[in-house]
Amino acid sequence: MAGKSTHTYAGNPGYVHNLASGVVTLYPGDAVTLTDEEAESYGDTFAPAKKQTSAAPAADPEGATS
Amino acid sequence: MSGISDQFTTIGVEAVAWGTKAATLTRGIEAETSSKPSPAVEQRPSTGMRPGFLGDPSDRHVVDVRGGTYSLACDLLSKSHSMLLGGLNTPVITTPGGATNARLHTITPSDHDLPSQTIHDGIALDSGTIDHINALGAKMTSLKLAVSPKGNVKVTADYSYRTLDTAAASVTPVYASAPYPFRDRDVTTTLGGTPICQRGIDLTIPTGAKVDRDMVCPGGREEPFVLGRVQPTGTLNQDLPSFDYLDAWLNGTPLSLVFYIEGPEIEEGFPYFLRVTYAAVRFTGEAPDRSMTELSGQTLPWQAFDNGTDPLWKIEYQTTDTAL
Repeated sequence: MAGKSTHTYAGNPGYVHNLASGVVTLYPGDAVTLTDEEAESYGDTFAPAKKQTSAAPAADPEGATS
Repeated sequence: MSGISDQFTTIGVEAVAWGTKAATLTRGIEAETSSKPSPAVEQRPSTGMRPGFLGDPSDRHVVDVRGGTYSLACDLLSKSHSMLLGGLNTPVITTPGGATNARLHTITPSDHDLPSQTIHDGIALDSGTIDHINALGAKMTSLKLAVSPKGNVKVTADYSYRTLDTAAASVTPVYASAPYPFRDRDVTTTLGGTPICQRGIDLTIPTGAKVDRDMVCPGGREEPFVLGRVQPTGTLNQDLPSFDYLDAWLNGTPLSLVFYIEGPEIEEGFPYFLRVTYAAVRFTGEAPDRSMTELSGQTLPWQAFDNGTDPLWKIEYQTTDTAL
C-alpha cells in the first residue's frame, strides 16, 4: 500500500502538477500531500515537511509571565 | 482514460553518470510530434562463404545498436525551457538587480563537458494506453532557432543519446502555467549595432560534441565531449538595402549580431526574453538575388568567430523559473 506524506513545494513557481490528489498549480512554499511514488518521482522539487511533534511545546519564557 | 491526446515528451538532467536515468524526469517540453529517437542500428552480415544459403545467414548476422539521435522540436516558451536550452551547457541563474520574480538564466559555451539528459516519450498505443521510452545519455549536438514571418520562434534541439530503454517507467509530466510562446513580432535583430528587419532567420549553435567515439571495448562507445572547434552559423535574409553587407562579406568585416526576443513583462522593467549574442560574425557569402517579381534580396549566411575576449555565443533567458 502506498504511503502518503506532506511535502513543501520547492520547484519553479506556477507549474501544473497532475498529482494523485488532483491537478494543482503550485508555488514555492505550498504544502501538498504526495504518495511515496510521487515523492520519489519528483525528487527535490518537493521537500518533506518537518514532522510535527505530538508533545506540547515547551513552556515559553515570555508566555510564563502572562 | 487516456489516448493520443495524452502523449508527451519530458526531459531531465542526469546527475549521476552518462546514461543513468535522470532522477527527476517530469519537465514537460511540449514537443512537436515529429520529435522522436532515431536509433543507430548497424546491420553487419557475416560475409564468409557458407554453402546452402542464398541470403545472409540469420545466425551469422550481427545487429549492433550504437545509441542514436533524437531531434526535439518545439515552440520557444517564456517558461520551462531553461532545461532544454541548458543542453548546450548548464545555465547560471541570477536575480537581476531590482527584480523580485525575474530570473536570468545565462548560458555560454562549454569547452569540454556537456550536460547529460534523459529524454522521455509517452506514446499512445492502439489500445489507448500510454507506453514509455527513455533516450538515456542524451548529449546535445546542436541547438537551432528559426523564425519566419507570421510564425512562432521554433527551437530544434538535436541530441546524440547512449541507449534507448523501451521498457521505461511511467512519468507524469509537469508544465508551466500560462507560458508565452515567442513569435516573429517579438524578434529584434541587431547587426553591427543596427536593428534590421528580416524575411527569415535561422541559426545553429553546435556544441562541438564528439559523438562518434566508438572504441574496441565492452562499452563500445565513450562519452561525448567537446573535442574541437565549433562553428556556429546561420542565415539572415532581407530585402536588399544597399551593397554594404556585400562589401562586408568581401572585406571580411566582423560585425556583432544580437537576436533579442521579448515577451510580456514579468514585473515592471523585467520582461520575459531570450537574447542570443554573437560578438563577431562574418558573412560567408552570397551576392544579392534579383527577381522580376520580387524585391531584390540579400541572403546573408554567416559564421560566428571567437574574438578572444567575449564568449563565442551567449544565450540569456529571462523567466520566472527559479531553477532549471
